[in-house]
Order: sequence, then C-alpha cells, then structure tokens
Amino acid sequence: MKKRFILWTGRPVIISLIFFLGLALPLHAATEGGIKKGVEDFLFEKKAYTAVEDYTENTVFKTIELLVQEIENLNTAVAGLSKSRTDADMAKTIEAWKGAMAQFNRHWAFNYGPAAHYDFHKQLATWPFDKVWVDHYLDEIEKGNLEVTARFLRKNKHSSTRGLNTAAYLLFRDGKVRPAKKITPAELKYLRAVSQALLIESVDFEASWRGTKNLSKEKRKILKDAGVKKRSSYAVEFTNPGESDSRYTSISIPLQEIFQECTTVIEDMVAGFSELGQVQEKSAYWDSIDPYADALDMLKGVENSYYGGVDGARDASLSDLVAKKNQILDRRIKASLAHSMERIKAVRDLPSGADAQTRELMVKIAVSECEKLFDRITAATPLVTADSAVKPWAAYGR
Amino acid sequence: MEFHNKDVPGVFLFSGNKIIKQINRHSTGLALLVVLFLTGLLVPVCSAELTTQDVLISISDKGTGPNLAKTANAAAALSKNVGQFCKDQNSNTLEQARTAWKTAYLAWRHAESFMYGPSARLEKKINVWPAATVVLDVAVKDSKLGHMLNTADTRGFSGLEYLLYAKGSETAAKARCSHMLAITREIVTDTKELKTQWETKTDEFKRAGDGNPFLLPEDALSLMVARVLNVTEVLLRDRIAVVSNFFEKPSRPDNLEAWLSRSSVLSLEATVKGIRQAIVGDGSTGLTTLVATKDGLYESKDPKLARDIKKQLGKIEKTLSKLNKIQDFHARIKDKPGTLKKLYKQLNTLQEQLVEAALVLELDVRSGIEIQLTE
Repeated sequence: MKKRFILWTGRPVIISLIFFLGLALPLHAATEGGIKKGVEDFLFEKKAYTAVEDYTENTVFKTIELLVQEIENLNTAVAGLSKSRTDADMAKTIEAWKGAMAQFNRHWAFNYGPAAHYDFHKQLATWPFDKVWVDHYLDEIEKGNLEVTARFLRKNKHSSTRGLNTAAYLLFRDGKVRPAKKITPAELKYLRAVSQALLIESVDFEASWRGTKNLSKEKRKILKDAGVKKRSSYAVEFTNPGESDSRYTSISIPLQEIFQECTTVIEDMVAGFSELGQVQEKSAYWDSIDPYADALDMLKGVENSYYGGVDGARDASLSDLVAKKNQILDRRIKASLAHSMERIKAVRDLPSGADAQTRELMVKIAVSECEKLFDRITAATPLVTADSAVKPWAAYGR
Repeated sequence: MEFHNKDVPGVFLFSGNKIIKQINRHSTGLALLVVLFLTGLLVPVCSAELTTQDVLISISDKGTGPNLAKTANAAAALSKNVGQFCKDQNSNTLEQARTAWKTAYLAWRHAESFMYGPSARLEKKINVWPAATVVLDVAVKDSKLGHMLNTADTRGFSGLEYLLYAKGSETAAKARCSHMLAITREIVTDTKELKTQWETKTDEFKRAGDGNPFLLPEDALSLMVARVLNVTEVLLRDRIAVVSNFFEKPSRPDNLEAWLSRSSVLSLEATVKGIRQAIVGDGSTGLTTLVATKDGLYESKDPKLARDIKKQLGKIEKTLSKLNKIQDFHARIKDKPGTLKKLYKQLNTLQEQLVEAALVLELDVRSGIEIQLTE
C-alpha cells in the first residue's frame, strides 16, 4: 500500500518536474527576455521624453530668449543712432544687428511648429526684402506723406518691407557699413520702426512656444501694447505627445521633427555655401553681409539641437539617444560637427589674395564635411525615431 | 658653491664630483627638472612633427609600394616555375612550383591590408576560396567542359593550389597544365596591373589633401583603415568562424584557406604581419604613432590605445606561432573546432581597437549600418 502510494504520488511530481524543466524554464527565460526588452524600451522612452523636454527648455526657449535679447539691444542701439547719428552709435547698431542675425540663424534648427505655422522666419527676416517697396516708403516719408511705425509695418502684412534684411539694407551698402551721417532722417525713422516691429515679432515668437501667460510681465506688455493676441504654449503639445491635447501621437514624432530639421538646415546651408567657391563678383543687394557667420550660426543651431541646449545650458539630448543605440555614430556626429565648423572658418580666414583654385578647394572641403555630417545625422535618425520604444507607429493605433 | 637649477645647463650635469654630489643632494629636484624638460620640450617637439601626410608617405613608401611589388615579383616567379614544371614534369620541378605558389600566396596575403582603391576588386577574382574541386577534377580532363573553368572558384590561388597539391597532382599534371598556365598568367597580369595602378596613384595618395582626388589627407588614410578593418572582418568571419563552424562540431576544415599546401597558419600569419605593417609601420611614422600624438577637433589623442594595439598584435602573433606548431591543421580543426577560438577573440579585440583608432583620428570610416541607412 505504502509502495503504491509512493508510486502514485511520485509520478505527478516527476511529471511536474519534467514539465518544469523542459517547458517552464525556457518559458521563464523567454519571459525574462521579454521583461528585459520591456524594461529597456521603457527606459529608452523615458530618456526620449527627457531629451525632448530638455531640448525644448535649453535649445528652443533659450535660443528665442537670446534672440529677443539681441533684438532689444538692436532696438536700443537704433534709438541711440536716431538721436545722435554718430559713427560710434552706428558701430553699436551694427554689432547689435550682427548679434540679432546670429541668433536668428541659430533658430533654423527648429523651424517647425509655430515657426512654420506663423512663418516667424519671414516676420523676422524675409529674404530677399522688397527694395522697391522700401524705397517707395522712404520717398513717401521724405515727402511727409507717410508716418511709418511698427504697427504700420506689421498691419500692412508686408513682411518683405521689414525684418533683419531690411535693416541690413539701411545699415550697409555693397557689403560695407554706411557712414552714420549718410543715413537720411527718413531712413532712420524707417529703421526705428523696423527694429520695433522686430521686437514685437520676436516676443510673439517666444509666446508661441512658451505661451503668452508664461512670459515675463515686460514681454506681455510689449505684446499687449502691440495688440497681439494671446497664444497657448506649443511646448506643452510638443513635450506631451500621446496626450489628448497634443497633435503628436508619440514621442517619436517630436524627435522626427528635431532630426529632420537638423538635416534640412545643413542641406539649405550647403546649397548656399557651395556658391562661395565661385569667383565672387560685386555682391547684389540681397546678398548676405557675412555668409560665413550665417553658415556657422546655422550649424551652431544644429549643434545646440544635437547637444540638447545652447552653450552652458545642456542636459539630456539627442546625442544621449543616439549614443544609446550606436555610440560610434554619436561620436562621429560630434566630430563631424566640429569639422564642418572648422572648415567653414578656414574658408572665411583665407587671405584676401588667395587664388581662386585654393578658394574653390577649401569650399569643396567644407561642403564635403557638411555632407558627411548630413549623412551621419540621417543615419542616426531611424535608429532613434523608428525604435519601437518611442512608438513610431502610434498614429496607426496605440 | 650654491646650487641653482637655473644655473646648471643639462650638458654639464655629469662633469665633476662636486656636481655629482650636488646632484645627489638635489636629486628629487633634478629628476623633476629632467622629467619636465623631457615632457615639456622633447616630447612635443617629437610628436608635433608627425602629420597625417607623413603617415601616408610612410605607408606608401614602406608598405603599399614594396608589398605590391613583392606580390607581382612572386607571381612572376610562380609563373616561371609552373612553366618549368609543365615543360619538364618531375618531382623536383613540382616541388619548385609548389614552393613558388606558397611564396606568391603568402606575399599576396601579406599585401592584403594594402589593397585599397581599384585593387580591392581583385579579391573576388583571384582569391576565392574554397576551390570548386569537383569541377576542376572533371573540367581539366575534358575539353568540352572547358567553359566551366572560367569561374573564380576554379581559378586564382585556390584553383592553382588544388592543381598543384591535390592527390594525384603529379600523375594528372599533364591534363591540368594548360589550366595551371592560364591561371598563373592571369595572376601575373593582375598583380602586375595592381602594382602599375598603384604606381600611377602613389602621388595622389601621398599628396592627399589637394583635391585630386582626396580633399583631405584623412580621406586617404580612411581608405587604408577601412581596408584593414575589412581584412580583420574577413579573418574573423570567413577564415575563422565559418571554418570552425563557430567553434562547434561539425567544423568545415575544407573551407580552410591553403590547407592542401599546409600553409593555412602561415597565411594567417602573413595577413597579420601585413596588418601590423599597415597600422604600426616602422614604429615611428605609423598610424599608431598618430593615435598617440594627434589631437582631433573633438577626440583626444590616446597613447594608451596606441600601446594596446601594439600589445594586441603581439598577443595575436604569439598565438599564431603556437598554432603554427600543429602538424596537421586540417585534422586539428576537424577534431577540435575550438582551436581558433582564442585567435578569434584576440582579433575581435584588435578590430575594436582599430575602430576606436579610426574614431580618435576622426577618420571617415563608416560602419555597415551607416552605409545601409544612407546609400
């Protein structure tokens, strides 16, 4: 009886044991693998959210904040120039204009969202500006037929008659700074209105990302006085993908915006920069005052996007995400950013007597470096944005 | 006499007992001075001199040029010896032809790391392993099947090795001779072309950075490093992993390159010697020196990595010299598929170090995933 009992009770134990060892253990291992993948995905997604949040705070907000600051400087300098018209005031104005232009060029890397919806790049620097209209307005001011103000320039909705390129037309001639005394009173009035309009537009740009209610009291007043309506925060949508009040279905989509805009900036910049290899003739009025500074600032914008912030304010970044997927590629992108900038500087620093052949070669080298950068960022894009952890196909069902 | 470091020029330090006494008294200060002098003055002077251009010139003059010339010369000697054998078939001329084959093949393997640019295509033409032995056995005897002898796996070094070394090669030599001569002619033409092509491109390589065609010296160096990385990858994948069936039975020793001539390990050694020559060079003007001394725009020089690469090459060479003592390597791989595992791991580490070196030097060496995603 006892023997039979042991036999019958022993069998299920043995069967269970076999089952456990033969089936349950591999199943456990598979589940463990699944859990591991799940944890990795969860952590990567979390990292992606943090990177987008820090990018918004440290790249977008900070870049626009600095742009507003530079335009404020320009506004103040133009006010000084309007009063005294000295060459010293002119020098201050030129410096301020350069600062504003630099900061404007750094914004290209996030020329999506509000920038695309409201064409802020045109509000701030339509290129080319409308010389015929501007000259006509100047004539009218001179004749006393027109009182030009920031409101007039903004309400007419002719962004091509204001902005940083129009200001450049009033401040420079043939690429050179104009003597202060040569600027007519009409031109000064016009410049004053342009710089004031610029300030309003730049603060409005900041409002579009931050939300009007999140701006400082002073900035809110600028918008209120200009009659600009209140804006909600685009950043809330951008950093909260997948929520009901965001047009972004998953964190993959903001990441796609950031990556794609970086490559677009490089592509656009290279197209313009390549032309510098040709023999330079007298520049047309719409030509850039400093194409090298423009190219470097555009790349700086890409660098800020990739590193997750402007200098001195960098935290979680795209670089972290790329490094998580391919550390080598991340280092190659960083090296390429440094090389692209260095090669552009090398063209800029060519001695004035450098022959055309040398110049052409140096431009080719710079363009080739930028193309390498483009390729490397392009390669990194799907590694991050198409990773299942960031839910790239969320739009087709979550 | 009061001893002031600043008053004692280094050249006088070893003259006179009094000074020696002073040296002892102030040994710590002096040692520090000497170290400071060496690191602060001599080292920068030495290291500042080496540029990417210098490395390119060194690779070209001491590596690529001589190796490709050696390959072409060895191929010419092979052709002569095979011709001699076909004219007068005896064990003596057969042995001479076999020795010439080994010399030519090992020269080819040694030169592998220097075959970049146009020469890379020859890999698929005259260095395809294993040989299609069944086709060779049949087709060399039957002129109606002659068309089957046009594929790469019936020609090149592998085809010729089989014809020279397979069982019965002495008796069947007559039937095989016309194909053997055709193969050697081809090897001679191709290796000669390789050498000539390089000679016409040497200046472009050395002058890299003038835009004809290399925009930067680093672009030319990238080509060489990418080639060495490909050579290590072929070693790891085709020559070790596939042959060893990833170190599990049943292994595939018939895939072992040059096993019939018992020169498999010798050929691995030749390839590694080529890698050493390409990477370390003469020790002072090689890529490793550049890794140790040149800062990039983003990356920093890495003397430790340079030392580690040299050490790793030493370890690999030591392992190979042990493997070289195995009498029948083909049989050993068959019995013990794990024989090459250690070498595999060591080469894998070397490959990782070379990838790191390419990053430190900020070269444009793309990985497979990057190429797939952008081309």
